Amino acid sequence: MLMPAKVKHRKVFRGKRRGIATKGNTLEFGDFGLQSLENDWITARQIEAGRVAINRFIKRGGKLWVRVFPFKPVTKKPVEVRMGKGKGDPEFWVDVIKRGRVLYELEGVSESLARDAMKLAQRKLPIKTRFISRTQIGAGL
Amino acid sequence: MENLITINAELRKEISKQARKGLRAQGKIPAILYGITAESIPIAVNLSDIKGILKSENKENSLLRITQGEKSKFDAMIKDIQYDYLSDHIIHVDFIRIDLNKPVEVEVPVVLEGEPIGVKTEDGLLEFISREVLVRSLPTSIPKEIRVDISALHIGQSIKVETLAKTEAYQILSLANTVICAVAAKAKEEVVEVEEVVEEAVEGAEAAPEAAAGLEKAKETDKDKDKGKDKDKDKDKDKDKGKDKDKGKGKKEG
Repeated sequence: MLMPAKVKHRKVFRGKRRGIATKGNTLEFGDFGLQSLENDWITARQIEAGRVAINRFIKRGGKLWVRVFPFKPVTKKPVEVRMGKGKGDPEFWVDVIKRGRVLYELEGVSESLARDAMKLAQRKLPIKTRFISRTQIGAGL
Repeated sequence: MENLITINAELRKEISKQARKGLRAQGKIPAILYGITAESIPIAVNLSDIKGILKSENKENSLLRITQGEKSKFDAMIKDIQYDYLSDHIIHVDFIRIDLNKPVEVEVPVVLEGEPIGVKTEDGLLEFISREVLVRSLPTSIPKEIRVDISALHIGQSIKVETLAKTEAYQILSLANTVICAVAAKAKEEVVEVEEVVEEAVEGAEAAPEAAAGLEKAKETDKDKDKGKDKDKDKDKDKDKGKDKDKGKGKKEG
């Protein structure tokens, strides 16, 4: 699973999830992509599940880029522990996804195959997403 | 001059957000015109005109003649188009004034021709890395696209900017060693999955003792707390007893 190799601070504040993606909201590498339509945290497990689903479906057919990385640690207190006594230990890693962010990009496959592969990845994610392609930009005027 | 597309523009007097929204509701696009040492002018153009430009032969690199009223006319090009990040609708356009006798720098799309041998017979994967190339040329001689024949590429081979055909009509400004496209071997997915499993197992092993140690510590601290509370209660009881005794004495004395 994805996680940073080294971090400056082991525990961070939870932060807010409002706003729109001002970076990483366009296709940069591939011809097709999956764009988020909601704001939420996406865990390393969910990112990995989406990646595996796409790769298994395209069967080494194309190239996949994962455009998100779980930089943010989330802590959790152990079960049946009273409140206080400091913050819990890091439990898992997430990335703060804002609407417009491109999550995956795909190249080297047909559009129909890319659509089906992305549909599988959509089901692994906790947010609404849409399929985007390079040809549709400016074409949907 | 055959390629000049004429579009009508009207001056935008109000530049507020509400005014821009109103324009878009009317089927117009807020735009700005700047360049060649003159002041920038906020204008509004019809969406249909912009659509026409983007569907024309040269697309974003088309030469335009923007007429504002009857007096002023400008030769211009599109500098930038802003799209809505979710709906892909055009929300704003930047036009830059140009002199038809002076060269301009524009990005020209690269079109790949043919299917590489590496993909056809060697089971490779074509990677299209640089889709546009920066070019300097006179506005009238901007190429529509730069075509590259990639049919002879094997696995591990690539095409760089330095291999592109040179002409007198335009000069390529992109760095010579910029890779346009390459044919790579397909990645082996199975090996990656095995590595992941190992990583996960290690993480789990690390996380488990920590969690267990945390739990034990927490339980110990709770026990200590309870003991402390019991002691306090006993102390309070003793105090109360002492008070009662004093009270009894007082009564007897009285």
